[in-house]
Amino acid sequence: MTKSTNKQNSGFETLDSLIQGERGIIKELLCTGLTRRRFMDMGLVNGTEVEVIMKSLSGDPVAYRVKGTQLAIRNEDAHNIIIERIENNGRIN
Amino acid sequence: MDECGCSTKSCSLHDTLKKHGIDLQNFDFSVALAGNPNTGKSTVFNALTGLRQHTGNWPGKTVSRAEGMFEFGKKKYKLIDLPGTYSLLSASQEEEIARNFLVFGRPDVTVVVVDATNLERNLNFVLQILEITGDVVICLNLMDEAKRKGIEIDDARLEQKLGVPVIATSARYKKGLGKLVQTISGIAHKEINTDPHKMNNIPQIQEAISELVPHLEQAFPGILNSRWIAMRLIDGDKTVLDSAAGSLYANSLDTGSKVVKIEEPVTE
Ligand SMILES: Nc1nc2c(ncn2[C@@H]2O[C@H](COP(=O)(O)OP(=O)(O)OP(=O)(O)O)[C@@H](O)[C@H]2O)c(=O)[nH]1
Ligand SMILES: [Mg+2]
Repeated sequence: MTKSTNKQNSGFETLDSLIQGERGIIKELLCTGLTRRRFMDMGLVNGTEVEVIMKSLSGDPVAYRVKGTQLAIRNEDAHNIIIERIENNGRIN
Repeated sequence: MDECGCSTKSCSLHDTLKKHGIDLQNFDFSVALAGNPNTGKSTVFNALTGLRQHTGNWPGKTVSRAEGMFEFGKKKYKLIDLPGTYSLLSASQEEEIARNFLVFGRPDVTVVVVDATNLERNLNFVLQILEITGDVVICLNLMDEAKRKGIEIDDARLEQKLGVPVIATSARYKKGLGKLVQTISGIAHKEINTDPHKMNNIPQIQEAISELVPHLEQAFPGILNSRWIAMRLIDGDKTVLDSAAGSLYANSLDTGSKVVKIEEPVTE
């Protein structure tokens, strides 16, 4: 049984669950090897804030703001990124 | 005489910087412009060469490498404008063009153009470059934007930490480019000594690298950056081997075409 399946089964929230305007903090990357290195090089590292900018018409990929740059990430990949949701508290940022 | 891109007319570089456009014959040094997407690489390229490489405010405009020439202090510099890349671990075709040139093309000087408003993201790529070469100038660009956003950068400290020169510029307004060219010249002539920051490597990884390197050098005689290639292989990136083989093949083709050029005048 892989690590990712365990995490996904036990109610962790992943990046693909955020909707437009919502934000989260990256907690863990579940992918390994080159994909993991690649994500980290794009700025997707633990503790980084991510915001959903917009969804494409089909809803996949989704554009996120990460460390001052827009990145398009496929839902399949976003599903491997564990986040902690930032509640907006009704404030406008 | 062309302007050097300095804001002041009293700049001594006004007399010495000549833009040569795409006249690429007989250059003395090759200089690569690398960095994350949208940091102003093509803007620097255009300012120094007088060419009009496409620029614009969306990422990934430069999709293949462009070359141009400038002259400074009686030496000719070939400038290579590379596509933006986040990483030396290539993913897209554009990134592979940049990666292959930086790792296997061995430019005399690598200028890393970084976005001063977004330093944290940009430094990842800088550190990757410092792993493969110390002949580096950091062009800390978009300083006007940084100032506007109230971002202050201690460039002297940054230079000290990275161990290579850091030059603050606002390429769109041609600020700091004279100093940039002077520094490129200093690195090319080995008048500026650098001490590039290297990642603190774990002993076990160092051992594995040292074990791989002789095998690589045997399989690819004359290969450049074999330690870096070994690191990539340990990372699980097998594509790097194809690029290495391709670069050796391309170099042998290069030599071939030079021979043809030399023979031409003789037959005329
Ligand atoms: N304010 C400001 N804008 C700049 C500066 N340098 C470049 N720009 C602008 O930034 C945008 C991107 O510049 P480019 O030169 O195309 O960037 P690039 O690094 O070549 O981009 P890619 O080829 O996509 O990697 C353009 O709109 C430039 O006018 C600068 O110093 N200050
Ligand atoms: Mg460009």
